Amino acid sequence: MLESPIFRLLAMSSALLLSIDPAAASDAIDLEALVRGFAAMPGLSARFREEKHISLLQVPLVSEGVLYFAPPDRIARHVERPAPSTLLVRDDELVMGTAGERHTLDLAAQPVLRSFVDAFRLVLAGDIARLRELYAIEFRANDSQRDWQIQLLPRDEQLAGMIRSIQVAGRDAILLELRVVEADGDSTVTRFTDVDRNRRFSEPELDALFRIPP
Amino acid sequence: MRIRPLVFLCAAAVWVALLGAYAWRHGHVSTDITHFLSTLEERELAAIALRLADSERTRTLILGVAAPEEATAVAAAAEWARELAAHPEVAALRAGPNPSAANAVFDLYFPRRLLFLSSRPEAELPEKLSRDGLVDAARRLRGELALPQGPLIKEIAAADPLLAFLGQLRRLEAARGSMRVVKGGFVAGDPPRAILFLTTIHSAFDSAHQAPLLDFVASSFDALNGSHGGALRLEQSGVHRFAVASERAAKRDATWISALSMAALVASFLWIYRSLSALLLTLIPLTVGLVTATAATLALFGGLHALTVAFGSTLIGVCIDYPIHFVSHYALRRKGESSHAVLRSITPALGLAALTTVAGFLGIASSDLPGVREIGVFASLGVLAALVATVVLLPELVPHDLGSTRPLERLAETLTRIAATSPRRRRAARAFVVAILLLCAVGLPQLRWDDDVFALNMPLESEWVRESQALSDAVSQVDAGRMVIAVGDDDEAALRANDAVHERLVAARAAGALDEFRSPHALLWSRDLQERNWAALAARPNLAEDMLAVLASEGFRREAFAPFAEALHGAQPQPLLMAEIVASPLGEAIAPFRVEAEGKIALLTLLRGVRDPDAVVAALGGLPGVRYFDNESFVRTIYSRHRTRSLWLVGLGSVAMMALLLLRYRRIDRALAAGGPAILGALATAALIAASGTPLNLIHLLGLLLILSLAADYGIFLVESDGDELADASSLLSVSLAALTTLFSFGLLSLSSFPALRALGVATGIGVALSPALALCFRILRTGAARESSTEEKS
Repeated sequence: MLESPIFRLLAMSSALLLSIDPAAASDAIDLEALVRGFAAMPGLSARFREEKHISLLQVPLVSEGVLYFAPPDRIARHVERPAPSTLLVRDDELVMGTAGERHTLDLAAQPVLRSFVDAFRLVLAGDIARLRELYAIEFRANDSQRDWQIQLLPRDEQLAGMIRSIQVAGRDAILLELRVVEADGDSTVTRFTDVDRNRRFSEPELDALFRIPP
Repeated sequence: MRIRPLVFLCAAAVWVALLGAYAWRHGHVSTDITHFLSTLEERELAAIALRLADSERTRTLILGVAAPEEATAVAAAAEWARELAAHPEVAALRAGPNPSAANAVFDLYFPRRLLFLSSRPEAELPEKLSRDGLVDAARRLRGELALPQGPLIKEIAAADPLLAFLGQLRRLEAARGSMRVVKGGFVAGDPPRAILFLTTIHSAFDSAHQAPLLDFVASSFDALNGSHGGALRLEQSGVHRFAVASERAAKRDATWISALSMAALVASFLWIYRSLSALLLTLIPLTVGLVTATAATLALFGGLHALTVAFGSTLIGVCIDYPIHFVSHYALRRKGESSHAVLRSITPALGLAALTTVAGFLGIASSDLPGVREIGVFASLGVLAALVATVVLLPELVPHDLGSTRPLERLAETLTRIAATSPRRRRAARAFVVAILLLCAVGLPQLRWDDDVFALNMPLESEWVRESQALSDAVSQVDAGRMVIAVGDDDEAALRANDAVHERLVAARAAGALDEFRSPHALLWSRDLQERNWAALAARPNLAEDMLAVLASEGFRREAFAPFAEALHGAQPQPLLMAEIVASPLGEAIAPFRVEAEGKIALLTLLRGVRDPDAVVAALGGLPGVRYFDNESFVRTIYSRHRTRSLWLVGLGSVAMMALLLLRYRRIDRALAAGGPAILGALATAALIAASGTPLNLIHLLGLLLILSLAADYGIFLVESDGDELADASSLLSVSLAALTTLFSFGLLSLSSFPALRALGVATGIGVALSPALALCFRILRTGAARESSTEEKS
């Protein structure tokens, strides 16, 4: 009831999308094969370093942390530095929090934000058809067929008014970078390291990792 | 049929019809409890409490739909909501947040963000706007930008680097409580259930409308659950089903008890008089008394309170003694004696009985509480009208063939034998009176009063109470009926008081006096407080320039914050007013906190976990127009005061009755024989109930007043007929029949499962069993003493 419309702008909090981990790369990599590989993942974890280039600031904001994905729809993004914070996504619920605060958003009531989150989830689910409904997709691979890049351009005008493009880049089966460019030119670049695309979560781990730390 | 009785019957029918029509046309039955309150403060609070009882909040039924999967519950609730919303009793049904509220929040608050900086601007803003404070603000802004909600902050930061709008958003979010929104639907609690808020058109206590709705809720949920394989579970919270269940139970009890009572009365009259017309005759004065009292009270007071109707009608029940007394005397009349002659012989007794009853009720009628006074006037007028109806109508309407029957004669003989004065009888009578006095001596010191008015209602289904509480806790997280009320002549005055309440409660919460509170302060501050925020900003020289300089020194681009400087250099924004919020999509958010009553505005702060009510009261001390309100203790206090006052008035009425009897008889022994059984009967009833360990309540007191009036009639009838053997037998008969009738009509209520009805039944049941026996004993003792004195004089 009391959600601000500008919470929709959270869609530009691109960091939550950073965890794409391409599946088994083939010699001749293509988009379908890539997302089929994502869909087959038992889970994923990765460390990330995020740089936010905001026009308000003279220098980018940098944050670091760890990201987890548990199929089919759970994401946890824990920022460790400079200040701890967590973002959780499950089904249609998005929760942001720190030790002292907690804010929840219903993605069902925020179609624009949901489209943005779905960009990530549909890639992981291998649902290319639905992804094409929401975004114009450009897939590029270099000559060696090892380095690739997926560019998503929003079809929805409202979303396009906030996000110019989402670019996911990687090498072979490994996701390396996510770049979100906002309509006003601000951008967020997230680079991944220590990517484990075969991460399996036990029940205690699911409970411990996919929640706002106390 | 003879013409004369027909004329009288028609005249009575016309009288009843005319007054009945007047009462129907002008009859406004009020339930306004302020009628029974004395002080202005009490009236204000009670008016607010009354408005709350009929407010949207009380009319809202919370329905929780639980399922193994949260998404299933939400989907099922959404499907059910569409079906429920179509019911004609449903005024509104909310399954999820109002989609337009989000835009309204931005439109209402963002332009006024600088008016909502601090709820204590004079204390907080000088520090916040100092250079160090500005540095802290810039660092906080940087920190917020790094958080997941950074994109939100980025959009507002240029115009609001102090993050005033974010502060307002957080207040609003906190006000929403613990509810979440999942797939567009409200979800609360653990385990989670989908929540529906169903607001009814009529009062939650209007069971005529709520019973069909609750039946529909149950049947439609069963159908929904069936379509989900029985996986759903329904929880409810709200007063609707308690009110409906309570009324159904009361009606069920009243129906079967009335049927039993009527059957017993019919059987008794058929057995004793071999005639039903005798029973019908006795009902005529009662009907005339009730209708006349209703119309006259309406004419005098301009309205009638529901309690007046309930209590007054009960008190008028005493009038059944008059027709019974007449019918008994008529049935045992001397040969050839006319009905008018019979009436003449008992008129002094009837007149005195009515006068003593009215004297008793006049005590109540002299109360300074309008509601109590109304009851006294209603009952007094009803008694007088019933007396007139008895005197005027019954001699005309009584069937000439109504005469003595075998059972009547046998009963009269038995009673006369029992009442015969002999040393043995006198010893027995003395022993009985002493025993009753001992009972009073033992029982009365144990007398305790229970002023829990809620205990008079049906015991609530404990499973329902638990379910209702759990669901209410999950959704609203406030204690039912506990709040702080800020009253003002208008919205601004109430908001000012509420601003102060908020500040004090923050301190009380920090001190541990309460766990939490929900205040309209989250939505709106007074115009005064908003303008004081602006004044504090304006009082800070070079604020915009200093803020830009600080931002630049903390790594921000100075030029990006030009909108902030423009806002500070511009005119003060128009303060946000109540009318604007009420008219916006946020109106539904503030509505539960705002009550209009007695031409004033009350803003409610709902409390949770009040650990120390005294500390909360102390924290609010000195704030004009502000009161801590605990509905339960408030009602209990009023009830207790009303009971105490009524008790005092009943005592005064008893004194008036005895004075009247002394005036009539001018002899203490006769006055005592007439009035003593009433007073001793009422005291003994109270003593017996107390000795059984049961605390007495206001309904018991009503029963005691009824006993006083009835038993005074018994005593007077016996004293007045003294010296005439036939009249004596008739009076003994009429007293026994009157007691039997009362036992059937009121005493049977003691079988009810409804505590209020049971209390009335127990008190009158014990009283009407003891009082005739006491009247008989007093008569035996008095006539015995008279005879001894006469023998001594002769010797």
